Amino acid sequence: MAKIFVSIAAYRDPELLPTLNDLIANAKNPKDLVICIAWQHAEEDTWDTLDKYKKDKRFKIIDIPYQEAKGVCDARNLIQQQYDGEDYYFQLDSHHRFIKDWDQELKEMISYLQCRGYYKPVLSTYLPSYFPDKDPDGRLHEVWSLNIDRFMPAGAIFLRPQGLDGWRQMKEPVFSRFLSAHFIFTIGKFVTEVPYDPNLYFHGEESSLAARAYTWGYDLFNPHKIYAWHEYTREGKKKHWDDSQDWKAKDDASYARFRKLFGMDPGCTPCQRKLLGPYGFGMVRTLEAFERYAGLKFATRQIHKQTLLHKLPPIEGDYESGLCNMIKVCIDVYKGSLPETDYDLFAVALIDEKGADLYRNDCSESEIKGLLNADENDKFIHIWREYEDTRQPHSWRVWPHSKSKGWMEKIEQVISYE
Amino acid sequence: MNKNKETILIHLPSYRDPELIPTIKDALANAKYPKRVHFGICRQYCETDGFDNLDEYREDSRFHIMDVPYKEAEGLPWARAQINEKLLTDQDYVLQLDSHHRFEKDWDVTLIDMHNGLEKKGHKPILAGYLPLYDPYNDPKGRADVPWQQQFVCFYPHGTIFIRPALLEGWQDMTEPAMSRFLSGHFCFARSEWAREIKHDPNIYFSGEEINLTVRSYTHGYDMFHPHRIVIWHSTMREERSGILKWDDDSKNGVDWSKKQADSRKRIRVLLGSEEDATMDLTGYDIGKVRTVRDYEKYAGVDFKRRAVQQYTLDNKYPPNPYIENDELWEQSFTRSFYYLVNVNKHDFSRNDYKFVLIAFDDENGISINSEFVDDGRLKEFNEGKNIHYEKHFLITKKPTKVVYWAFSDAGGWGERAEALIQD
Repeated sequence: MAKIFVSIAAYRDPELLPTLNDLIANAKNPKDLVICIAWQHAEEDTWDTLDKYKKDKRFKIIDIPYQEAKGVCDARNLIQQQYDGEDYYFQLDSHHRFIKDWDQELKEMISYLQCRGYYKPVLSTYLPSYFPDKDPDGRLHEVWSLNIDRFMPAGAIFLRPQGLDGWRQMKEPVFSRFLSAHFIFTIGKFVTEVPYDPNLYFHGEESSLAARAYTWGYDLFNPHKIYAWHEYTREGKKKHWDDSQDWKAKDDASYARFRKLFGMDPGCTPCQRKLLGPYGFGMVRTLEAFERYAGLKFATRQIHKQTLLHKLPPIEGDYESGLCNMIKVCIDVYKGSLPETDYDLFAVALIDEKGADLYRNDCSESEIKGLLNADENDKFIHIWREYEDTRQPHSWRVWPHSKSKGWMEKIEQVISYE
Repeated sequence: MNKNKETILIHLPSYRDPELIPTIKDALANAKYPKRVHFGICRQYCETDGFDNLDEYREDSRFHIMDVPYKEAEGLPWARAQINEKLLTDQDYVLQLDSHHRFEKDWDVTLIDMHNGLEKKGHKPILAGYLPLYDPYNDPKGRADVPWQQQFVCFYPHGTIFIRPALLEGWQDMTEPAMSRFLSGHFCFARSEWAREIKHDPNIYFSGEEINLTVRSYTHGYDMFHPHRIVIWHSTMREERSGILKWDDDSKNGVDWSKKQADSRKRIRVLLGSEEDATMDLTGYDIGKVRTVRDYEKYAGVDFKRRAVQQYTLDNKYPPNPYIENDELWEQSFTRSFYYLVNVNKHDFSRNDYKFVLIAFDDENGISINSEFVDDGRLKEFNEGKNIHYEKHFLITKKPTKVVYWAFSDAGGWGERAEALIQD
């Protein structure tokens, strides 16, 4: 029977074992699974034990002391090195629940798409949520999809889940722009054609993987039904960036790599891409074909109107004229720099290098109240500003006004694009 | 048993064929072990032809000949049935051909090796396919030099499949024969049990013979393969024998060919389950019990009842098609052949200066599924007062619910239209 190579990247996760149990219990052909786990664990986490599966021949366990972990992309790359020609590739996190016969249903859907002429289909989505402490009652029975939220200043695309409109009436998967790293089901060849770039850290993982897969001739699909659930909040659980001292440096390097791949930095793009080796693009389709399909333009950080409206790809009609330059910035102001109690206005501006306003949109007294009261434990307030412009802002400026004391010190900060 | 002793019956239904003798000579000359090559010949002859005289072979024990005056011949499947039922005896293999072929050197060893290789892998193999062409008047120069396969083209409105030859894509890299969706009448190589088990139905009259044999063989547990190297060539011999082909003779003798054809097509529809008729007796020529017709349909990516085909099959990817166990999902995975008789009635359109007439097929939301402008010839006739009337055939994933006829003139613009609902 056709084998499925299951990739599970786990980082000190109390849900790992329940996830494995559920995966196997709900498979129609559990003997056809090859489950590879990047087991990034700590001795002190006594609940994190794989004794039950260590002698099971279906399991390939990569034992990684958490201190030596290098991030999720590296873990997924290590897992892929254990791939041995299995027919299907199934990439997960380590906190999931599954529908009954998930393996059969997913394989059938791949066959279905192939019979329809999509020979290299990828099924991927942001799964609906479950909560370990109230399962199965807490499972959400909605189908989600991936939508672009914004280009981050450093270049990567920030994605977020969005309900898939009309999924209950759908009879088949729909085209998708991106891949979700926590749920990918596709043909086994994917592993050798679009191998995981261990140098990416977190941001940019999903959008770069989608573009690379597309250029290898893969067609991206969002399932129209639920195959599994995912735990999103993971409150109080250790994440790699909690333990890692140098995550910021890694994240910066990852952004730089992303910009290289997508030609967003000055310089010779082909030369930069060459340095990426097997982690670059395929020869079946061009990056431009992906951009036209998805409604994006990386070099100028533009997003097509239809993409912003969450219309299903591909873009219909004219591509160029529909591109917009959405600037979306999160202005994080340290609460310690806002000592007064009677602010009635923040003059908020995004400015160029010379200090001239590019965009101005102030906070009213009520907005300020909301921001200050949003989260007591947060040392920052977060002012989001979104507008259309072709010029990238250099800095932001917040100029608070107090009822009793008038204009206070201006607060300014340069926006990091790296 | 000594492998070289295994015998092959070459199955030759010859109908007034000047290539019969050259075919026999070439088969013997190129066999590595000619002693094991037997011939089963149903010679449908005309005294005056002279070119298919087999007298030199009549004393040869390898030759098994049945002579039939051409006026008594009952069609190709009938002739094939005579060979398999009366001339085939204890030979190990059957090589079913027409009667106009050329052979590669050591073809007997090549075919048996290919066959046994597949058998070792657990198949009950039939090597089959459309053979590459040779030209009887320009041989060997006129021989094609690449192996072929059989390609699905479309469903005929009467329910059988139009199959045509195509290059065997990727043959250079193949190390064994490629799986096939179809058998060919003019080339099958299998163990002789196959010829006894899958009898030629004499009620089938040429058209549909191949799909009949294909589905019956598959449901009896046989797997079909195209040889990945050239072993034998074939000639159509249509032009060469023009005027002395079976249907030519039939029409001269007043045989109602179209009636036979219609009966034979219906027989195939009943066999394949796309039509029901309890009165039709298929005993001895029925579907097998090892696999079902649905198994074949899933293997080949076709649906006989709905006359639908999967894109995978249209793209001519090698079978089996990706397997979908769930029937509902499988049924949904098809592109359907859509057929419509366009009829734009001149009475619905008042002018005679139309520049365009648009024929559009829409879904229930008015979204166009397919549209085209009628060609200049028909447009001219339409302006002269004639109706526009033609058959339209295209592939759909969603069935149109209405057809809209829309006419444009410089003076009247897109003012006039007529529409009709499309019934199931």
